[in-house]
Amino acid sequence: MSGTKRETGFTFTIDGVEVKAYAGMTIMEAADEAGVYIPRLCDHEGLRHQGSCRVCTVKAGGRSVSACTQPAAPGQAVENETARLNKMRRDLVEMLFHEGNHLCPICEASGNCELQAMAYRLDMTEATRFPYLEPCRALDASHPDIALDTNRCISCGRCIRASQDVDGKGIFGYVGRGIHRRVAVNGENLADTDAEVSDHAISKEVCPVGCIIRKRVGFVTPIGEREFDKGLIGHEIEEKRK
Amino acid sequence: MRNPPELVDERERRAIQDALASGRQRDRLLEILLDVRDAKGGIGISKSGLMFLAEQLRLYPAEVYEVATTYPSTKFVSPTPAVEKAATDLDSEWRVAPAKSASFFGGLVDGSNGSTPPRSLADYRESGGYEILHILKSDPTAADDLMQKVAALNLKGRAGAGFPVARKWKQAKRSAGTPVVVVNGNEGELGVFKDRFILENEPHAIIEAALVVAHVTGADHVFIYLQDEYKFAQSIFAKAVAETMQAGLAETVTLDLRRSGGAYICGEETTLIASLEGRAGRPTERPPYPSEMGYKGRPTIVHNVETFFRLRRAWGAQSDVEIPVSRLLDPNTSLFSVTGRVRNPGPKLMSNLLRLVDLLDLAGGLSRGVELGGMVVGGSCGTLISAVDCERPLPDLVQNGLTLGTGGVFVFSSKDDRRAIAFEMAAFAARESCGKCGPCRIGSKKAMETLVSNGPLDTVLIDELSTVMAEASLCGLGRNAGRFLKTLPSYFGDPQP
Ligand SMILES: Cc1cc2nc3c(=O)[nH]c(=O)nc-3n(C[C@H](O)[C@H](O)[C@H](O)COP(=O)(O)O)c2cc1C
Ligand code: SF4
Ligand code: SF4
Ligand code: SF4
Ligand code: FES
Repeated sequence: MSGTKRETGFTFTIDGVEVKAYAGMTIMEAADEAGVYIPRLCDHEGLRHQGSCRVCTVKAGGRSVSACTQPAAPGQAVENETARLNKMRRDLVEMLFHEGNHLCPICEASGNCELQAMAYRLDMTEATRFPYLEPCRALDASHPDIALDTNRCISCGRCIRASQDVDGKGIFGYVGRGIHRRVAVNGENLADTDAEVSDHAISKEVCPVGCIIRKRVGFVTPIGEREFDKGLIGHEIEEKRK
Repeated sequence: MRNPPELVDERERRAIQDALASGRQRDRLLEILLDVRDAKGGIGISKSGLMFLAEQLRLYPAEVYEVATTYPSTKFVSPTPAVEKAATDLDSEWRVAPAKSASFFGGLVDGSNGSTPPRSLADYRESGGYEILHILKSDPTAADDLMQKVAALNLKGRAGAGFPVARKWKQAKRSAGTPVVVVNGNEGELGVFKDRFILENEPHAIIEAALVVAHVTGADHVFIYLQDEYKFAQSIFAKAVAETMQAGLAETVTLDLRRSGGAYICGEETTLIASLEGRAGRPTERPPYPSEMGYKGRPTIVHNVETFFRLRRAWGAQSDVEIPVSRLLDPNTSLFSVTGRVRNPGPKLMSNLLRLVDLLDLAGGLSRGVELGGMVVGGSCGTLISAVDCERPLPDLVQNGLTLGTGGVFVFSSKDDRRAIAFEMAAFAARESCGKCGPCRIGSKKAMETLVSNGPLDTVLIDELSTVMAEASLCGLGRNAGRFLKTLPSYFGDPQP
């Protein structure tokens, strides 16, 4: 959460760059304001922090912490863009690819997808040795305006938090443990819930990948003009510093 | 929900209503689900029952569903959609190879060490038990003195990490709100049953110590959180708690007995607190630390059962030859949980200045025809100790980096397949991962699959997985499992010290 006591400002560094922060701010919030991008997938502006994808892992005070949840501390030296951390993040992103079924060339989210964009940013350019897990998940096209394809779900929980906290609905929820954990809907299928295409949870910006699909608007933006065709993920934050 | 839930079976509806009668608060959700399970003879609530319960508690069905599916002890089986079923039938939803061996780390049957009945309240008081509470109540300076004593004795937590006890209390006292005390009796570690031994023998030692911590820190509520499968210990505590209250020993403090969600992760303190609040069984990021902000936002002091037991040294409790477990009041004595190729597995009290091989004598020797291959010390993320090193004094091994953790000791034979042992340990992490964070959820699964194949071990892959898990996981489960993977070469080649 952003600091309420604005008067108690302090500074710390991220990769040597001095960053200003206020009491109660997370490392990531301070970094964003200062124009330093820390990779992320589960954290999203306007939603409460969950700290689950761990792509934002940084080194602070000698420990690995998730920047989206760790409070900034005065004088601390935070490491972000190191080769070691980026390798670890790339491994994490690869693991997310292997956990689901991702066929980018035929995916509606391609070019707008944060997972894909993160893979590009982290130089994931070839297939890897990690074994694929190849789950088998049903498509839910029951709703007149929305389709749900959790084969691409990275379990970030953004849809859950948006529906519970912003829409006040609780359309989505997690079920299960371990590798069996997944996102489910509050009913037999999506049509059985109160989901509406105007919900924040259903909006384009909430699902980072291509799970939540608004019917009849797919592919309206041609490939080449999509969000990450314009620049690497995070470029908007980084441009603040230029 | 647009469609009304299908009708709930009349018997189940009654079970749910009975369970709700003892409290309709959301924080009792896990207890309610366990009560329904018990009323149904061990069968978990049905899906329509869950819908009914959600309606009664005014919660989203998805929330109740989530809670029910994160706690194995609820025995709730979520219906699998048809498409998934096809894959499930192959062997669980994922292509899981079956475990290579029967369990090495076999635990003990519940109640099997109840050779001596638990010490009664009368006997406990006879030997000076609960007197400290009287002193604390009558002498206003006694609490501070006791806290200083605990700090001076440098008493440390026995859950594995060894965090100083007094520091946790100070954090709680400094923080806003009335503190809460939790006895962590989840004991979910592979092949470890030391807490059960203490719980079944000396219930009043634990209750007394918890009440003392409550008094010293100003807490008004003590949760005693017991592993759901420890039915014997639960019945002992139900009785002991009632006796304590009847005797007027807990007048200003509520003693609250709770059952666990049945998973290893339920012992992790933020998850434990989530289960006490009726939320899903998954850890949350620290900070805030529970000692600052835990149960319902209040400072919450969580200690392991053994920590409470040993704490009594600070107010002069003495060991007694008649009560074997009281040897734990000696800081040089440890309680080992010995499993594997021995004649007489079980909890063993031994000086931690001796050698691991000395534990074999206490466990009736090696099983017939077995030659010692070595031991795994410390449970599912433990360290492999070679047969030669088992002859070295424990302090030597500790100096070389061995941590005893919660004292699990698995004895294996020279013929046992070490890869199968390592597989079982990795499979434990995969089975117990809560699934919240990517590195542990996916990493533990991949590590297990890598170990199950019979080809040469892909050491580069294992090394990458272990780095990601050890450094990026949210909680200790994934982090420790990652560290364990780093030591895997010792399971295949030359053992490390
Ligand atoms: C995955 C995991 C499982 C844990 N399980 C237990 C447990 O079963 N019992 C326990 O006392 N502590 C367990 N802990 C440690 C608790 O989080 C907490 O640190 C401990 O109860 C503090 O006790 P202490 O102060 O006595 O050491 C676990 C921690 C993790 C990360
Ligand atoms: S969700 Fe993203 S990563 Fe997955 S297939 Fe679609 S574009 Fe590719
Ligand atoms: S459906 Fe999308 S937003 Fe929801 S958890 Fe999956 S990836 Fe995240
Ligand atoms: S490390 Fe494992 S157990 Fe801990 S939060 Fe992550 S997935 Fe859950
Ligand atoms: S963005 Fe921090 S853990 Fe996901």
